[in-house]
Amino acid sequence: MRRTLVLTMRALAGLNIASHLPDLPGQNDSPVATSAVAWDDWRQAVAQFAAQMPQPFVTAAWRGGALIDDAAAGALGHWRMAPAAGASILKTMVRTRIASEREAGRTIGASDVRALAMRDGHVELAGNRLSLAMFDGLEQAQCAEVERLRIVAAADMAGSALWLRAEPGEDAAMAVAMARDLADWAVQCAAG
Amino acid sequence: MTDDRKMVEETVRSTLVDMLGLSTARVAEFDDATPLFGAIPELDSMAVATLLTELEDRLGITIDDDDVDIEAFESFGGLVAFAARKALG
Repeated sequence: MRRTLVLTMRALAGLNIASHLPDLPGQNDSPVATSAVAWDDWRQAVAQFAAQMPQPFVTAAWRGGALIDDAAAGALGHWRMAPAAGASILKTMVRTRIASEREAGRTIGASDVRALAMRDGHVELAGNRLSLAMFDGLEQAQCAEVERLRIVAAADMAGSALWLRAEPGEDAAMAVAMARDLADWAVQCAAG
Repeated sequence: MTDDRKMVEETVRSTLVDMLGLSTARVAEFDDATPLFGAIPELDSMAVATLLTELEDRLGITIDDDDVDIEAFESFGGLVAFAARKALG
């Protein structure tokens, strides 16, 4: 998915639109451990990042990104692909833990997973060590209502839902379609 | 087959197309006996987690994890029957 986002950014550059892809605290090259990050830290990071952005700008969010894009104060508009509720994302992650416990011969339920987070202060879900504050924050997170919002689905962009894939690969055609759509939306937002 | 069951079956098919990156034509050939879990490498227990949440969203249902028997995912027919039971009662 990230590779497809980078292709989208290159396609945007070809349309003379600059774009930035932030690493949130605990992600990728961040010096902070994922287990030390709370949900609100992500919202604050987006707010700080937006404050440094050259004006004018619009936000583009995929899936759970739509849960924090409203923190980017000053955006001319917002673009969201397949926005997902925090509870749904967390539920899938909790299920992967339940599945791996089952494979190890242990039967646990969703409430046991949260109990582990409470006991240890963090819990390992799908290869990510989530703090209790991240766990609870994600569960409660909803997409905020924002002005000048365009919502698209993967099928609108000649693409497929890469985030559902076990082996996502990349989708160059979808990246180009997303860049064009984003560019058009940015122009519309700028025109008021 | 009732229209409701047909709708559930088509939803299951389109979810598998999106998740497994298979062509619509190939998934259209799946019948009740087509083996899934254990036969399709991409459909491992991690993918089943995604599949459950996706079916919940697309069918407007809630699936209790205690209620999930992995045998239901061993064939296409088993999966459709599971989803239909949740969606149609």
